Amino acid sequence: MTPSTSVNRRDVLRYGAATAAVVSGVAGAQMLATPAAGKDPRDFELEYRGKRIRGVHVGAQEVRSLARGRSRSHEVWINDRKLSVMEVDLPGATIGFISAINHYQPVLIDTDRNRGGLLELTKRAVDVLGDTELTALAGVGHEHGS
Amino acid sequence: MGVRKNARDLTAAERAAFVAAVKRLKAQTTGRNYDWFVTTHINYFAAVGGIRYAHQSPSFLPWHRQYLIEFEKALQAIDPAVNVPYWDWTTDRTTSGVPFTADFMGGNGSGGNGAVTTGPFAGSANWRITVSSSSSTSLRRAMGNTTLPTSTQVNSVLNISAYDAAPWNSSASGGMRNRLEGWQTPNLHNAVHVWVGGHMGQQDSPNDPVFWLHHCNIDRLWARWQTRWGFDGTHYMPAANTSGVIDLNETMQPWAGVTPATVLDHRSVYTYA
Repeated sequence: MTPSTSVNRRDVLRYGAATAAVVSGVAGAQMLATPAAGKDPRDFELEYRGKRIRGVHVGAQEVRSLARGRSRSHEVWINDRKLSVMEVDLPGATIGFISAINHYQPVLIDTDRNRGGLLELTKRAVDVLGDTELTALAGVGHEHGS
Repeated sequence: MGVRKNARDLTAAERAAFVAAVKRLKAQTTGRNYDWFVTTHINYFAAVGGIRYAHQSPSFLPWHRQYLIEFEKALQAIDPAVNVPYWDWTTDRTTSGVPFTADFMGGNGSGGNGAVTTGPFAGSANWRITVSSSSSTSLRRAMGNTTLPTSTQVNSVLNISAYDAAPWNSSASGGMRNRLEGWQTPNLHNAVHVWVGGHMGQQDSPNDPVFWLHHCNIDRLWARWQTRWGFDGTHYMPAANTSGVIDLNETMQPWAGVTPATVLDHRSVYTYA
């Protein structure tokens, strides 16, 4: 067991840092929500294998800082049920995204070669779901840390 | 002390006893029942209070070691003779062989991605999914659409002497842990979740009982690495003062009093056959 005083002090520092990150992330999300942000050309709303899928990107360059803020990531709905999308830092300074459905297989999403990444992630989830639907649990976001 | 066997070496009676204990735990309505383990995995896949305990961090291996111990203890409270077996996917690589036989884990999903139709966990009447991201109440699998890791890949990972490396997350390119976990190539652990598919690919992957056989094998591979490189505290990293992850002597929630240091040497609790 570690001496409790040092653990407590360290934990205080950690929780303090986490709180600060959440605050800055919320501020970032509010800025993006202004009408000036416009619609991302990668956003989609279409039918795939009998399910209505919708994807909203949080931004091009901002995604990394937003993801670090943990307040928001790209957003996906399948038949109007939310699918939580989570950011995963990968080797080589790349960022992958996983969902509650495809949790062990990151998809790259960017504005260049992987501009269709969110659509790919969504289609994979539909492929898994087949004739079933997302539950409320699929839409509960959780942070994966950086 | 328990001996964890290769699933292919279990007797018919041992297979039946394991299945029966797992089902009893699932039927339990209070305390740490089967769905408690599913929920705990979902909760701790994420960072909790800014700390990554179970995944994408050095404590991936010790956290799951304790998780397996807790699960095994829960089974042994039902049947003291039961130990969790392991699935060595470098040798058992088909969708109908060990452990996916009708008298053990059951086979693939119907039509390749639907509900499991054979074995003791087929259909919601035998094994009802209640905590999940998808609405299926029956266990689902979509096996064999990717490739399982090979023994050559396993050996390449176990040959790495460093336990882990900065920045101690899924982007760590040095060290053994991230390669074994699978965010770095050759990707052992993640790839097997994806290969089984269905519930095993979801955040609620412990809904598939083969989860325990897979993670028992991951724990065995770590034990092999420890046998080669050392069971002592110098073979866990980071030692101290690293924020956001669990250092050697920090408590791994939700396991009270359990740190990486306390689980490094498993040999007084269980061994691998």
